[in-house]
Amino acid sequence: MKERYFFAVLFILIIFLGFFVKNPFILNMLSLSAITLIVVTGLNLLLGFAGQISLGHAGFVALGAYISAIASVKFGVNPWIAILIAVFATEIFAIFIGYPTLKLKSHYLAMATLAIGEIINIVTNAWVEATGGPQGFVGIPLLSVFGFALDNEVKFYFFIWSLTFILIFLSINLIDSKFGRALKTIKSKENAAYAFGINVHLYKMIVFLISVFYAALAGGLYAFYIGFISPSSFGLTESINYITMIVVGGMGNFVGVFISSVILSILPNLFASFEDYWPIINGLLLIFVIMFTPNGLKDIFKWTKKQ
Amino acid sequence: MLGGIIEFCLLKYNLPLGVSLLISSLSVAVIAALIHKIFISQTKNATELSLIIMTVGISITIKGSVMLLADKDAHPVDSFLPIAHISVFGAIFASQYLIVILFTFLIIFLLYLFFKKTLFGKIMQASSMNPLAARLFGVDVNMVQMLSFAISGFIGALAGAIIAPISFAQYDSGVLLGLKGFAASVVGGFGNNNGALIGGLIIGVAESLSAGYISSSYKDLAAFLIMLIVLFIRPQGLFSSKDVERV
Amino acid sequence: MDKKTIISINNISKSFGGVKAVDDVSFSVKQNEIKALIGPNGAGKTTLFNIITKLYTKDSGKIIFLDEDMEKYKSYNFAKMGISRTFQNIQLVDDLTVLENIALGYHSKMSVNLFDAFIHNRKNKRQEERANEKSLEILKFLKIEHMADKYPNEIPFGHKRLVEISRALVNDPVLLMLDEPAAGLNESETNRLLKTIFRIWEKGVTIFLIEHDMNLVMNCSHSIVVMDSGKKIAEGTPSYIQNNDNVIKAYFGE
Repeated sequence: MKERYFFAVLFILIIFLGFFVKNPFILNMLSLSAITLIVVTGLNLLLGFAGQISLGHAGFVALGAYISAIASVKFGVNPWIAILIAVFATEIFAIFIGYPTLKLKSHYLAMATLAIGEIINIVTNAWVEATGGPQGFVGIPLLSVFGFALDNEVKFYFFIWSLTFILIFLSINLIDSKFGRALKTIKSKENAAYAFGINVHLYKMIVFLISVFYAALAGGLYAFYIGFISPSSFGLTESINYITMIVVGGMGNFVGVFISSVILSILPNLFASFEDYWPIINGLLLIFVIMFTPNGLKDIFKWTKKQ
Repeated sequence: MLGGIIEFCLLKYNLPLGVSLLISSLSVAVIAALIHKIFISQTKNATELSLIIMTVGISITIKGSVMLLADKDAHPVDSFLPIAHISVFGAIFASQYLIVILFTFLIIFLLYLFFKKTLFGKIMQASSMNPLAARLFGVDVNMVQMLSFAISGFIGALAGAIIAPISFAQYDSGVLLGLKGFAASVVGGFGNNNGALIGGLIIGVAESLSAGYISSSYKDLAAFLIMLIVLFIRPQGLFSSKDVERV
Repeated sequence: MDKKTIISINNISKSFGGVKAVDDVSFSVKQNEIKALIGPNGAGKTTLFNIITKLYTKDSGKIIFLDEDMEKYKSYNFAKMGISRTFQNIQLVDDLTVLENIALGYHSKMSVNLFDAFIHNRKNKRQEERANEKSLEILKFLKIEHMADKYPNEIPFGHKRLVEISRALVNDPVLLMLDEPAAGLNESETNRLLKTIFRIWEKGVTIFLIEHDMNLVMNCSHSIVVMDSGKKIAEGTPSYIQNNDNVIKAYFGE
């Protein structure tokens, strides 16, 4: 319960921030971290609550971004419909990967999603006519909401953070229902789950598809916000970044993951000269959190759980 | 990847080929054993999930370190044989391929001997199938796991080192290779050496065909597409009759 | 008056790599009866239990539950049909409170879909409240309601077992299957369990249990099946079993 109050207060703070911050660089940084947060919130449902790992989530973000971009630029589709098409297409893709692998032990999903991430990276690099190849895809139009064009940093900031909070609240709702209980059971007591009437494979599929939905949606929004996409924004490094954010924040804790995602997505922007060190920092964070504090920041934010 | 890079560094110091090959593989084996000793075996309440995350963390840390210590460039490594290219029936290919094929068969043969003929190989199989029972029989499962880490590190490094003259040594050359290895064992069926060999062959041939008939930029796709198709229709692999452990 | 048969197990066999774990076993459990399955270690009791709940697939045989052949159902359909079970090694979910763990048992009675859960509409709210009420009711019935908001790792072992039983009871099962409910319990906890089992039986639930604790079995069950090396060697009332030669041989040797 306290979780919801916490996020309500946080939302008000972030909206306030939007009125005072005038620096477009900072606003841009915060909007980008909101987009990251959408992906991470979805992945947290899969990894943190249901205990299934995807090592290729950046690939699903890429699919969302590229399909939206191609639909709107090459076929002149309305941006929102383009995003809808992109999400739908990405989901179909995800069904093909998830259906066989989610029947098997969890490292199969890990490897299959890793492979999908690589495949998407290869295709976005190689299929130059459609994707622009390594040079990237340019000229993606802007979004507009109810006739309002989101044509400056402030407008987009308000829009994306509102949407992010809606998506976070929806996930909290989901976890606070019979679905959440079922997912947590699958994570730690998979064999017992059947006895309570949980169709384990179906539930794994559902949560995988939800997390892919969040990823593809975030990808589409990213494309229409930045106006330019290239394969390097959606590589394996990104997929692992998402996982680091969840592991550090505490798998299955909304508040901890929120904080770690915002911090870990902003830091690399502030210290751009350290770019080469991020993989190591990322790797060491993963190793040490898993070794010494498997709950991440979760223990600090345990109070948000108590009723 | 590490094997190739270390080999490259050693060769720079003009060490003879055989020596640098051995040193690079052995040092990676030691590193792998240390990784198991320091990180994996010390992890509290290790679950499959936490170990996957752990190995991902370790792999990007190594990659990141190599990127810093060496650099991001691809380093050419000389072919092992004095003649770089040979021609058979008019088709010209790099002589290194002969070395790769030779080593592959050698390793498979040695692994076969190891698992079928030595006590330790059998202990290793037993520990993987039923760790608890193995422990009850007085096997130090932790030690066995560490050694299997070392062996797979050794073979992985050797593979990286002998492929380096073809593919260059680079900080991120490992992921694709490792994934293709996984793809080959999925196609062949897990825990089945011969299956994995045939799986590897199928994937290799498919790769060459797609490079030849479609485009070389898509050749890496072949491995993964075949793996996904196999997972979809026959998750236990093409050459394995055993049931995969389903949930 | 002849009582209705709740579940009948017909000629069940199962082998693991040549070893017959369960060998042509048949028996049935009648309505509102407490039936026990006993036998030495490795007799195949838990294997049979897992076959009945379809965690394992059987090699041959037939299981009829309330006149329905269970062949066509999956293991996750059983809860809804009225079969609940507990586990020998306790399977409470650490991330859920005691109350939530019990509400988990109510899963099969909830019909909310994904959309209802996402937006927490009235339907979802009503069903969640119902699940909570039912769970609390059961906790009160077993007299452990003060534990409702604790996490499983914060409560004593004996209570974990009671929580597991509560979880199995919350969806009003026809048949309650208990897998070694007394394992790891001390004497006073076992006595409490015995009383609990009777109180559950009084509510009209049919109970089928595997047990090691002879005392418990002899004191609570109406009928006992004895297994040894995969085979059924005797079936009957406690007093009959106590004096059966086969059983004495299996337990105490020649």
